[in-house]
Amino acid sequence: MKIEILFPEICNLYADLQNIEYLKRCDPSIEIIHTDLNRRPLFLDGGIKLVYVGTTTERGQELVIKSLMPYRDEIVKSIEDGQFFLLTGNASEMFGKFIKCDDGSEIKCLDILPTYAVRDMMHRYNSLWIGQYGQEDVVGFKSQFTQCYFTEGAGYGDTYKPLFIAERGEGLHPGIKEEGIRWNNLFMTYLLGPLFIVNPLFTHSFLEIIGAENTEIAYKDASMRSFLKRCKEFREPERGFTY
Amino acid sequence: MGLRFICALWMAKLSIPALKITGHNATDFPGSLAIKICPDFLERIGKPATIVAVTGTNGKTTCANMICDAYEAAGKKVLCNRYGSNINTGLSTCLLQGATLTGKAKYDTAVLEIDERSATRVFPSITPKYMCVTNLFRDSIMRNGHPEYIAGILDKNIPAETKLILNGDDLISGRIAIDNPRAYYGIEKQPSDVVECENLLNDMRICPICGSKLVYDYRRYHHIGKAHCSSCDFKSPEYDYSGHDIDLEKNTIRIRDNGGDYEYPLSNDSMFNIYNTCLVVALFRELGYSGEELAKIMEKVKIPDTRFNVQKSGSVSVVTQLAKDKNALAVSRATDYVRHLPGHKKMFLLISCYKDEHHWSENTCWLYDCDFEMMNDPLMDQLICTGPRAPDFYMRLLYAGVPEEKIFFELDERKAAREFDLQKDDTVYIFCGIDAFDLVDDCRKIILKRAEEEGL
Repeated sequence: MKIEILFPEICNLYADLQNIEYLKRCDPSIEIIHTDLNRRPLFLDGGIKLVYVGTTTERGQELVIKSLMPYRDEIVKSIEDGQFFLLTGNASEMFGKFIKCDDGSEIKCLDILPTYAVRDMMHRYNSLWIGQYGQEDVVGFKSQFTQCYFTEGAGYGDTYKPLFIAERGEGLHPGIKEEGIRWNNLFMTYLLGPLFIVNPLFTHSFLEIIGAENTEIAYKDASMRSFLKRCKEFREPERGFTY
Repeated sequence: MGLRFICALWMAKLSIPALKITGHNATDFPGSLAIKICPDFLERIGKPATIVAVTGTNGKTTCANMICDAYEAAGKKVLCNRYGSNINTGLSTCLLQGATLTGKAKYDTAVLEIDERSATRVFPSITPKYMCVTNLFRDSIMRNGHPEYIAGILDKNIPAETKLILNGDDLISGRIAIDNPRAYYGIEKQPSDVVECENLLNDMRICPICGSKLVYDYRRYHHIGKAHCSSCDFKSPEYDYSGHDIDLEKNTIRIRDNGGDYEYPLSNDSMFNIYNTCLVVALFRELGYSGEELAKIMEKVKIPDTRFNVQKSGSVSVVTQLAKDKNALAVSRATDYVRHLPGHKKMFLLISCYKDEHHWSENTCWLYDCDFEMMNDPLMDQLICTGPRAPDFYMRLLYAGVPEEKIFFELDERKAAREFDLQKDDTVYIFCGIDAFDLVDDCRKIILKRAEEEGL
């Protein structure tokens, strides 16, 4: 199985790339392919099981949009055809309609997801997060300058389903509990960093979904010990949750 | 002058002895009080004619202290926030302490460590004559986002007339406020340099002008080194102060500038601190000190021992190594330094962000930006995972390839200090953040006492 990481030279903040390395530790048959900026993504020509894009800087977002814009229609078709995508942190913003900047200007994005993001560069939103993927607990961290919203007329439903449901912490934006989006085989979440490493249960499910040969979790005991401690901590009522 | 300002100044000044009598350290509150009473206090308070500001992700406290030491060694008394905070309230405290009862500056020079994130609140009111920038790396994910973001804040806020003293080997901090006057320091190619990045953190991979790949002529660590663009004519700047011929036996470095080539003593042999020496030399040469004069001054400049401290009991040594938690770069550099030291060692990890633990749970993303792989070293005999984040360290070390049998796990730090395998001739490195000094002290005492009681 091949996993293509798009633009690892810039989409690499907060150790996001370790997510894919961890999948490979679980299933050593996974082959990781790095595709640099301004190259045609390999998945467009088939043979790639999962495409991954991680968190990047604000300038990085613009470079990614510029790099992918020529392939926008092909990307949409590939998602409609069932291509697996995983977008973490602010990566999904490039796939939305636009990013609204502090000065009121808008950055035109790929317009693949019916979403937009609003930046507030002087107020970083930081939060611990606990919720569920189906019946399974998921823990994570949010740390972002933006909040994401559906465009007018769009929202969660049969087509765009929430990836997670928040138990504590906010969803896609403050005030809702639905977090992330699953659209066909595209998974997006604002949870960032080593999401798989801190979530052995979700990792196992994800490996099954993408059809990995081996779905056993690497360093399972250590990962579970850390995961269970975090679940317990994040549920303590006295524990602060946003920063 | 204004009644409100005078009221703020006096109230703040009066609060200092009151706080000291009640056992508080009075480094932040007086300035905070002054700003509360008079919101433009920082602008109004008298300032020394020469302000040297120091900022950057790592090494700013060390550099600010070294600069103060150098001034003192040169016989000059300067105002500094050595014991205070580095944000607007701490700077206000510092400046009011250095002001008369009417708010006039008593000093002609100040050395101010400034938190890079605070530039928006500080620079409208303070115009440094020189601003020294150590480097920009990833730091706390929560406060600092990413280095480009911090560079952007500095870009927008550094006063146009401030001369920058910049690290020419850092293409992130080296490009801030690009229209300001500037002098670059750097260290020429070293035998240990590489071309490909060996670290997880590598934040300068593409050209800041055209976005093409950067090619490194040599790389010291992370993005520190000399690079050029594979497409356009962008390249690293030329040094104005060029470090070369580092001699770790003599503990010296030669630094060449347009006035000559001089030998200076080093206060520490880690590359990170050698850069700090270069920064201090560049600043003092800019201030007009001669090379000969400066070489003598630098002999009296020491690294504060809270950052690197060795204590012995019998054959056992306990080394406290400051490794700012939540900061992948700081822990990576400290680990790289320690792994290259001769002899076997044991690593005692007290980097659980204890301050965070009081009110929330740490964001541990940084653990996977940090080069824990360097702890998978044949000379690192045991890695002691302890404190609230011990399960995360344990997992991270396994991920780094450290054999399970080398990892000692115990949540309670003092119990860990009592129970890990301590042997004759051991050197135990306690890696600690800045908020764990009491705990470090306790653990160090326990280990040293064990060495004594067990006759090691």
